[in-house]
Amino acid sequence: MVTTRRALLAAGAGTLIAGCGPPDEHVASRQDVLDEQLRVTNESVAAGAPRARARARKLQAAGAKAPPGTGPSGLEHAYDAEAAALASYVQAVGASRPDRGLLGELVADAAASQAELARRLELDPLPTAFPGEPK
Amino acid sequence: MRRRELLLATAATLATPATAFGSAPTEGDVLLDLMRREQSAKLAYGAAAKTLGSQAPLELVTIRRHESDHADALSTELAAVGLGRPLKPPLTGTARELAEASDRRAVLEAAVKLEDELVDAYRTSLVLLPDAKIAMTAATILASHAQHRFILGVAAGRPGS
Repeated sequence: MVTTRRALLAAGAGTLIAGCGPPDEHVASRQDVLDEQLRVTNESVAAGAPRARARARKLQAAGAKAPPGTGPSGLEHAYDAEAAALASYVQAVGASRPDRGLLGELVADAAASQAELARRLELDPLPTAFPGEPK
Repeated sequence: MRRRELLLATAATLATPATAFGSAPTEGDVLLDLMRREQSAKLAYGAAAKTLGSQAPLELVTIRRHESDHADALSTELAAVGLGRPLKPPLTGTARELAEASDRRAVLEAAVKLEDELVDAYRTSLVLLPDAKIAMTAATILASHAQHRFILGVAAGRPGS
């Protein structure tokens, strides 16, 4: 799931209260949050998730920057990458209110993508009522 | 508050859900609107499954259970903002179409339309909900409705929904 330091910071940012942390504590900026969403989306692109490229373009259009994904490709990897991307987008909703319009589009598309890939893998496409729920 | 609730209940039946809120609603207004949508959806899926009997796609049962889970989650969020669970609303709009659909094709068509409206309503809610945790819960429910819409679309013969 969300494993990088930046992702964890982004995930926790929504619950931080400005001024309450130690002086040198890093609070994820809006740019950090968008960059992290592009990073996980690029992993989905690298894994071969068909819908991910359009989401990456939307994030780039919003100013996000991240290197290309480097993970393995294949149907199962694409499914896992889309699950990770969806969880990251849900976390980002909590971290960045100004971008929730865009994030809502990303959530809906990644969720549909995950269901589509699940069908192709003959997995349950509707395994939970709360896809992307933080673990 | 009562007048605003009535207005929102009416707004839920509008053909353009993204414009359902005329002025800035409170967090409670948004949650009540979503709750009524979930309650209506659960009732409508139940009625559709009953109408189709053994011909009902298995997905309808799963989706109805999900709508019930969503309503329970929203009930928790409503309690967090000091509001109780509203009474079940009368079926109107697309939920009523789904409840009254008489064959598999009509059920799937109405169900896709209903999930489309739910996706729009939750996307709108993300912008309106100030609390980060409540917005994240709404985001997971948005994801669920997007999956419902996709799966129902495939069942209705619309691959790539």
